[in-house]
Amino acid sequence: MIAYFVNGIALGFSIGLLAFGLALIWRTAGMIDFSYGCVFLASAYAALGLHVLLGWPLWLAAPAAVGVGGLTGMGLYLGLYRHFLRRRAPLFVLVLLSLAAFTVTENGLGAMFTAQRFYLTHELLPGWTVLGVRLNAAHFSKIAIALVVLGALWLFFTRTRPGAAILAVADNRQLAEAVGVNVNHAYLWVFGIAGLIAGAAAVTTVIETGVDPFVGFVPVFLAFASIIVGGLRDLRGPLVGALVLGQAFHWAVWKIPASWQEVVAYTVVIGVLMVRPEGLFGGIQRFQGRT
Amino acid sequence: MDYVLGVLTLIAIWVIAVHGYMLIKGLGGLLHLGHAVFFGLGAYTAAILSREVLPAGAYPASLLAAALVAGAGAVAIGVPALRARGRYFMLVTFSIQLAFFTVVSNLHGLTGGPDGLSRIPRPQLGAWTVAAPGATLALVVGLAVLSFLFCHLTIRSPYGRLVRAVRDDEIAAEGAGKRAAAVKLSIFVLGAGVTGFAGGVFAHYMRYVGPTQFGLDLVVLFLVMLVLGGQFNLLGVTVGAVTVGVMIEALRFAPLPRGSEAFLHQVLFGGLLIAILFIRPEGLLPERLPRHRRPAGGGPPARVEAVRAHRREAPDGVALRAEGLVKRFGGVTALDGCTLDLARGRITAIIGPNGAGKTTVFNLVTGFVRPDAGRIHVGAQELTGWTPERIAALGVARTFQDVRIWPRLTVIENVLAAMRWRRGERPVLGLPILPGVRAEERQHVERAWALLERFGLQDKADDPGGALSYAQQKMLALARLTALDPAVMLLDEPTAGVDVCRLGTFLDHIQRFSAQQGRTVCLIEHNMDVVRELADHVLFMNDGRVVAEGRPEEVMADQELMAIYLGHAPVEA
Repeated sequence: MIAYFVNGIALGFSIGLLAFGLALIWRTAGMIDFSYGCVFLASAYAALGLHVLLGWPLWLAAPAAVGVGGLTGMGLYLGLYRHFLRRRAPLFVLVLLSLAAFTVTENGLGAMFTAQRFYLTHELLPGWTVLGVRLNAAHFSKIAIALVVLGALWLFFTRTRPGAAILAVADNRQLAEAVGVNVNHAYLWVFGIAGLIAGAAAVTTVIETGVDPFVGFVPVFLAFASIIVGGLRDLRGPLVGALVLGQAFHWAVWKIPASWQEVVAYTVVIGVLMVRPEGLFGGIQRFQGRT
Repeated sequence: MDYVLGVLTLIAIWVIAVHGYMLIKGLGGLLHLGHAVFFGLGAYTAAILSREVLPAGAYPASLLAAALVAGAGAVAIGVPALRARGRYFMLVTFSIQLAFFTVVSNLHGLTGGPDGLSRIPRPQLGAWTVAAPGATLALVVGLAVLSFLFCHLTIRSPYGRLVRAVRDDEIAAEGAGKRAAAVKLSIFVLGAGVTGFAGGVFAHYMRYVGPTQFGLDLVVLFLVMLVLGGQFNLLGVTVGAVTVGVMIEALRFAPLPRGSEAFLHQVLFGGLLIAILFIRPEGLLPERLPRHRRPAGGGPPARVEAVRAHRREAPDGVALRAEGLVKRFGGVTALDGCTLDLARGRITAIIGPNGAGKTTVFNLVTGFVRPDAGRIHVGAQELTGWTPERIAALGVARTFQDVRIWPRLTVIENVLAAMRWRRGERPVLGLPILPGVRAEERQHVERAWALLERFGLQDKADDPGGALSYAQQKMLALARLTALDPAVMLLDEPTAGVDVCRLGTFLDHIQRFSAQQGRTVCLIEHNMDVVRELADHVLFMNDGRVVAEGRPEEVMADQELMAIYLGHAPVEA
C-alpha cells in the first residue's frame, strides 16, 4: 500500500516536472510540443553515453546530461520552431512538426542503437526500508530534484529579467512585443529551460528504468495528461494534475491487470474533459486555440 | 505483376482513408490526431463480423458495418471531445489513439489480442469471390472512385459550405442560426465513416488484422499523405496518398541496413513531413473555391426606391423586451438591471459612453453570453438561456463589432451559407445530385446574386471574403444578415470605420431593412449624425442600464446626458 503511494508520489513529481516544462512552452509558444520527447531521449542517451561508454562518474554524468537536455531544447527551437513561430504558423503545423521530430528521434535512435534496453547501472540502487517498504535513491532523488527545480524556477520567474520577459510573453505576446520584449530571446530561454527540466526528469527516471528509444513516450504523454487534468490557470495546476495521475497510475495496478495501466491514465484524461473541460483548477479557456 | 497489382490495391485503400481525413481536418478544420483509430475500428469490425456473424458473400454488408461502427466511434469520441477546442481536441484524439492499441491488445476474446485475427474471407459478393489480383484491384479502385465522388459532392454541397463556414468562424455560424456543434460532430462522423469503410476494405484485402497495424506509425503516415498533396483539396490528398504509397514500395528496394529498415522508414516519413512543412506548408494543391456564375435571364434586379427617413410614431407593439438584465464579469458589473423594449417596426439606437454595456446587451439578447439575472422575451416567447443558434433561428440576429465574415468562403458563399436551407444543409441527404437540393440551390444562388447586386458586391462574388476591404466586409456582413431575413436585427456599430462616401449607402440599406413590414432594427452607434438620420427612438445607456430614452433630438438635446457621453461634468449654466 505504502509502496503504491510512494511510487505514485515519485512518478507524480517526475511527471510534474515534465508537465511544468510543457506548460511553459504551451503558454508562451502556444503549442503542444511532442518533441519534448526528443529532449528526454537526448538526455537519457547522453547519461548512458557519458556514464557507461566514457566512464564518467554519475555525479558528473547526470548534470552533464541535464545540460544536454537544455541544449537540445534550444537547438529544436532554433532549427525547427523559430522559422514557424515567426510566421505565426497554424497550431496544426506546429504540432505536426513536433510529432514528426519525435518520430524521427525515436526511430533514428532505434536505427542506431537498436531497440535494446541499456542500463546505466546493474547494481541495486541504494535504498532504505521504511515501514516494510523498500524505497530507493531514485524515488528520493526524483522528489528532491523536482522540489529544487521548482524552487529555482520560482526564483527565476520572480526575480530575474528573462523570467519576467517570459511571463510577459506567456500573458500576451503582442503586448510584450509592443513594449519591447525580445520574443525571440524569450522563446530561446523557454525552450532552454524546458529542456533542462526535461533533462532532470529524464536522468532521474532512466537511472532506474534503463534506456531504450521508446522510454520517453509514456512520461511525456502523461505530462500532457496532467496539463489537461490540472488546467493551466497558473503553473501549479500541471503539478497537481501530475500528482493525481501518478497516484492513479500506480493504484490502478492494485486492482486490475498491469496491461491496462495506461488505459487508466487515458480514462482519467477523458473523464476530466467530460466533467470539467477547463481542467480541475481552471484556466483553460473554451475559445482559445482555434485552427 | 501480381505484386504490382497488390501494391496498387493497397494504395487505393489509403486513398479512401485519407479522403475521410480530408473531410475531418481539411473541410471540417478539426485538429484530429487519431485517424488510425477509425481505420482500425473499421478493419476489426469487418474482420470480426465476416468471420463470426455474417454469411459468406456479404461483402457490402461487412463494409457498411465497418463504416457504421467507425461512425459510432466518432460519436462516442466527438460528443465529449468536441466540447474542448483546438489543442484539447488534439490531445483527446491522440489519447484515444494510444488507448486504442492497449484496449485492442487486451480484448483477447474479441480481437485476438496481440496476435490479431487472420483468415478473414476475401471479398465475396453472393457466389462470386473476388480472388484474382486484377479483379481485386478493379473492385478497390472502383470503391476509391466512389469515395472520391461522394466526398467531392459533399464538399460542393450546401452542407460542405456550412462545414467550411463553421471551420472559419463558428461563432458567426451560430449567429446565423446554424448549430455549429452538430455540424462539427456530423463531419467528424462522416469522415470517420469513410475511413472505417476503408478499414473494412483493408481487412478483406490483407485477410489479417492486428493491433500493430493501427498504431502511431500509421497516424504519421496518414498525416504525411494528408499534408503532402494539400489537406484542403480532395485531389491533393488523393495525390498525396498515391505518392506516399509509391514511396513505401520504392523504399523496399532501397539498400538499407538489415534489421533497421522499419526504423529508417519512420525516420524518412517524419523527415519528409518536416520538409513539406518547411517548403510548402499548404501542400501541393491549395483549396479550390467554387466559382458561381450569374444565373442567365435573371433580369436586372428590382431597384428598391431609396427610403427617406421618416419618423414612425406609435409602435404597434413590443418586438423584444429585456427586463432586469444583470451580467458580471469577475468583479466588473457590465449590466446592472438593464431593462429595454424594442418597438416593432422601428429603428432604435443605443448610445452611451464606452463600457456602458451596449454590446453586452446584444451578447445577452442573442444568447452568446448568459445573463446572471433577468429575462428576455420576443413577443410572447421567453428566450432567456437559449443557445445563439436557436435565437437566431427564431429571427433575432446580429452583426458583430469585429465583423466576423467567413474569410475563406467566397463573398457569394458568405451570403449563401447564412441563408435558411430546408434540404441542402443535411449531411449525405443534402448532396447536390438529389433533385430537391438542386432546385433549392438554384433558388438560393439567384437570391444571393440579387442581394450582392443590391449591396454592390457583385463584382467580388468569387473573391474570398478575407480579401475584401474593411468597409466591404462590413457591407458583406449586412448582406449576410439580410440573407438570414430576421425579424429583429441587431447591428453593433454598423458604420464604425466606414468612410463618409460609403456612409450614405449603409444608411440606405439599414432604412430599407426596416421599411419592410414589421421589421425591428436596433443599432449601437457612436456617430450622432447617423443616429439623427436613422433612429426613431434612442436609448441612452450608462453604467449598465438604460438611463434615458426618447426621440433622438430630445435625447441629444439633453446637456446632462451629452456630458456623460463626452465624459466630463455638465457645464454649469
